[in-house]
Amino acid sequence: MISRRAWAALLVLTAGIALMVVSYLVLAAPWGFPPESEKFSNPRLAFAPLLFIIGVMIAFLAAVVYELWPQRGGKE
Amino acid sequence: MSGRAVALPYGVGRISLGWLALVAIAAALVGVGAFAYAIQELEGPIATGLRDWGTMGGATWGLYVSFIVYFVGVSFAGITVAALIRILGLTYLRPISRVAELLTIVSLILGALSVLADLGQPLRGIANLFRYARPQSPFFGTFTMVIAGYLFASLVYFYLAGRRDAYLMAQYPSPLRWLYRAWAAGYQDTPEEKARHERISFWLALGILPLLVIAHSTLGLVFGLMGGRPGWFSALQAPGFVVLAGVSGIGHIIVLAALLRWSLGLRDQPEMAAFRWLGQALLVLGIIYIYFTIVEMVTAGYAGREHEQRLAKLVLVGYYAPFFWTGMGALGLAIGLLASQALSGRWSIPLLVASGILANVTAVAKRLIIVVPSLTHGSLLPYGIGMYIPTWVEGAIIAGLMGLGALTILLFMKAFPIMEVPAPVEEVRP
Amino acid sequence: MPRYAMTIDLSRCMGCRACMVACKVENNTPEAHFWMYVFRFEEEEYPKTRVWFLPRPCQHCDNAPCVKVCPVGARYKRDDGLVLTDFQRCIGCRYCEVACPYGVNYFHWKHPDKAQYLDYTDDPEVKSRTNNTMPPYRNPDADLRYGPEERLTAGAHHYRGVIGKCTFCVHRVEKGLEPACVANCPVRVFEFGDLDDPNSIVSQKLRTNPHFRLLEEEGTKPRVYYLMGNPPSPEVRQVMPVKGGKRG
Ligand code: SF4
Ligand code: SF4
Repeated sequence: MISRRAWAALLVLTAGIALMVVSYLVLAAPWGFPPESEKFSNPRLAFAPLLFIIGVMIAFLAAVVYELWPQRGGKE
Repeated sequence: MSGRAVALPYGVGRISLGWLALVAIAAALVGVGAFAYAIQELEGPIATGLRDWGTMGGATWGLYVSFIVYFVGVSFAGITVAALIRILGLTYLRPISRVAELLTIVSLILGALSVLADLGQPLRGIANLFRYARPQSPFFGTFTMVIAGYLFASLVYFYLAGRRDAYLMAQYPSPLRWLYRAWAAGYQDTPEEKARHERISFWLALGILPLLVIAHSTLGLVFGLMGGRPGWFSALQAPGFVVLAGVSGIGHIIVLAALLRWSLGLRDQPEMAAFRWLGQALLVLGIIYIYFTIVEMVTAGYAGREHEQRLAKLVLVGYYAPFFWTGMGALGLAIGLLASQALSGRWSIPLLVASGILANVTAVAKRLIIVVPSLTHGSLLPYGIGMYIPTWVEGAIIAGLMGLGALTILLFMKAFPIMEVPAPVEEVRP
Repeated sequence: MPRYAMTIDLSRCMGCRACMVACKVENNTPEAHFWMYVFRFEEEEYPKTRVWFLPRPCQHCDNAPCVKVCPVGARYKRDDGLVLTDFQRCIGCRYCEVACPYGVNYFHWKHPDKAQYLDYTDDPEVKSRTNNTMPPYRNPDADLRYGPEERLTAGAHHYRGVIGKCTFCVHRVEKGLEPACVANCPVRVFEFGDLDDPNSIVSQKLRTNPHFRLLEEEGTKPRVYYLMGNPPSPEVRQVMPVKGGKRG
């Protein structure tokens, strides 16, 4: 039985990794044909690299979520 | 808040004369660095000894890039040691895990600042890297993985690992209580919470280790992928960076741990076992690095292309030989010191500190040897040879950065216990 | 879309460096920056000494290491083959300069206005000879933005702390003119044209002359072809290098 705390952390982790993958493969990396075309010197979406970094950060924030998730029926 | 003065652990909040003197020195260094940076900003990068390679006969990258690599390298060992403590359960190392994590964070920030010192357009650099950074450039990995991802991961780790001590510190009346309360964020050190923290930091450590290897490899690839630069293009560049990063970082941890043990007047903490472990790690990594260097030099000097051979000769017996042999000699000496201690089984802290310092001499010398000779003497076209002599501005900025690092650690020491508080203190709730 | 290329006939070059001067005037490059550079080489020993010359513009490589490494896409390759620098995007990391095996990049180490050959303060003496204008002259074409993305790429735009290099005179090519070095060579060493057009002068020259490209073994696929000659061997000595020195 996975606790609600673990679910939340997993959700955050997945969201972070998904953002990383999407921003790296789809938004930032200019792939296409011909590969040296000048359109590919730009990210598909401006600030995609920022999204990637935010993705990395969200993924690691999962740990904080896991620890700080309020305790059900706890003392506080 | 009660007025009772309670001695906080590890000298937190107690300001001594020695500490003040150190802070003054560090702050003075920061001031000199800031002044030098102001000059560089006013005059432009002309204030440095860097110039274009080719017809201008200079080196394009120099001290700044060497120290980016060096600072990021130092950061490597800190978080690795902290992660290994969790994964392998090395309890006797636990007291130094906080200083190791702090070292990681501080030196990563210093690395990022030296990038800014190197860029011709620093402000544009910050904006455009977020906006346009391209995964095809090895800088993308360096920038996202090292400076953002790895720094953030270390901060998370540092924060979570510090909650227990923050909770304990919040028990004492002190002017920084609000900080400890905020940091602890409801942590009560119940067995349940402890178990949870152990679990999560294990996973976090497991996540950080691959990130580390990727980050340091991309930094190596910044050089290793450059086919047109003799002396750089090598598959050994990435693993070499990881290993040398470990050497310099562990050297730093040894020095810091010894300084703490001495300055806080602790006679048995960190334990000798911790120093022994660090010494052994440094020994092994140092030997691996020597092996890498020999393989690299043999490949370049024996089978390498004409230009590789010329460069290898230059480094081994030519113009750059003094730097190279200083670096390798320092490493050899460090290994000798460590090996003799390992063989006799008697470890001494002063000798360990000496080898830690020597390892860092090697790291700095080797970084310079990697960056500069290929630019001044590595041209594939028959341009003349170049020359690079750093100016005082570059030196002062680097010194200022080091001062900044020292200052941060010194200030932190007085605000938070620099080592894990050993046992729960008795309740002194007001 | 044309595929621009340049040919350089080594049998004709006499090392006068007029192309270097033309480039300086056209692109207003500061002191010690040589977007076009002519090597003067010496080979063998007396009495068999041979002196020869090799002009070196940017090679506008098809597989350009400088483009690959640029972290922000400031150095990019246009569809017509020109490798250009977006002077407003470059962050001054100098990675392109380090990655390029040809040494054609020049960084603005100080404010370009302070790096011109003469100190052009309002000098009546100068003004009396220049029809009341003060050099350095700003070519209005250099202010135009070219290509579908309208990037600021033409030479003569110099900012402190960014990189610069040969643009194949994009502002002239866009108007249908030849690059300045091509137009100014007294013995017509250079030709510039479209590789896709079999009747263009570069295509014809390449069909009829033996040619090589510089450092082809690096896999950079340069767009500059040298006719009639051999690549410099590691034994050649450079004579009379420019006095770039430490000026920046
Ligand atoms: S010659 Fe150098 S600067 Fe020019 S395209 Fe090739 S790699 Fe880039
Ligand atoms: S100096 Fe400018 S053009 Fe060159 S790699 Fe860096 S950002 Fe790109």
